[in-house]
Amino acid sequence: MAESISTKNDDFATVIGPDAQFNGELTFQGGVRIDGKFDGSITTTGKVFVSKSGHLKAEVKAASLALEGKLEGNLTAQDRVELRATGQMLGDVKASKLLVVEGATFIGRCEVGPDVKATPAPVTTAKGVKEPPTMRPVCAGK
Amino acid sequence: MPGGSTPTRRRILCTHCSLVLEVDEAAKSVSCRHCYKRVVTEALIVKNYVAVRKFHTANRMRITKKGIVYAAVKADDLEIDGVLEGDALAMRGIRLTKRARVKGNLRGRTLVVQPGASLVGDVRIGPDCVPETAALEE
Ligand SMILES: [Zn+2]
Repeated sequence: MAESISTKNDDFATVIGPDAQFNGELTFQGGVRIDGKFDGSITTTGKVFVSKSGHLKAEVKAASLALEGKLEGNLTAQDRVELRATGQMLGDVKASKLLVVEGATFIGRCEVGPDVKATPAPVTTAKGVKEPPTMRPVCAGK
Repeated sequence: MPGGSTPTRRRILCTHCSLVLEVDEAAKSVSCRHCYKRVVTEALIVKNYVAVRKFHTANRMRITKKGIVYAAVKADDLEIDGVLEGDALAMRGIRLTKRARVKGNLRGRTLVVQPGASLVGDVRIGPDCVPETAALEE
């Protein structure tokens, strides 16, 4: 089995703390760690980690996702999705790789495989124009 | 019995009526004392093409890389290395290896999808998703 998604604190530029509650739309390029409550949508070219205390009601588009908390909503990942022992996923998953560890719950539609075309998450360029990263790579700090 | 050894027995769920049966470990099939239907109790290794309505065993099932199954599948543990088109229920875990191609709805306690495998269907995976097994723990 391929290596699991690293969830070290240094990997996440954005952290939504355990006491935080966030409603809205998050669009960015790095990784995000969610320890609190989030309602809305997340679009990133990086990875998303929902810790045990994290609870998402969201549409998520990301490169990969590791779930230890709860996600209610649909998830599209270009690479890997890991539902860990305490993870609860209620929604549809589209990804190229999936791991459901014993104890995790997953109820929803599943499309997994190397041929599954997960639409890359659009990122906002410096000019504020939304376009898929495959069209023109966007460098951080540009 | 010569040697004094008693055959090992195990508790299973009838694959038709989901009621508990106690069977000899070595039995290949038994008749259910509740619904009187034949219950396959041997481990199955599928190496060829199988197209039936129901393909059930109260034991492990492994669909090898040459196995192509068009059926509703039920097993204790299910490993898929080949092709499955149909719904699958595993009392314990479902494992899709890198060559697996699965189209159907899956239900089980755990699911492992190795990189390279493909799966399209509705899934219900989790410790509470197979309530039938509670009868075995009583
Ligand atoms: Zn029966």
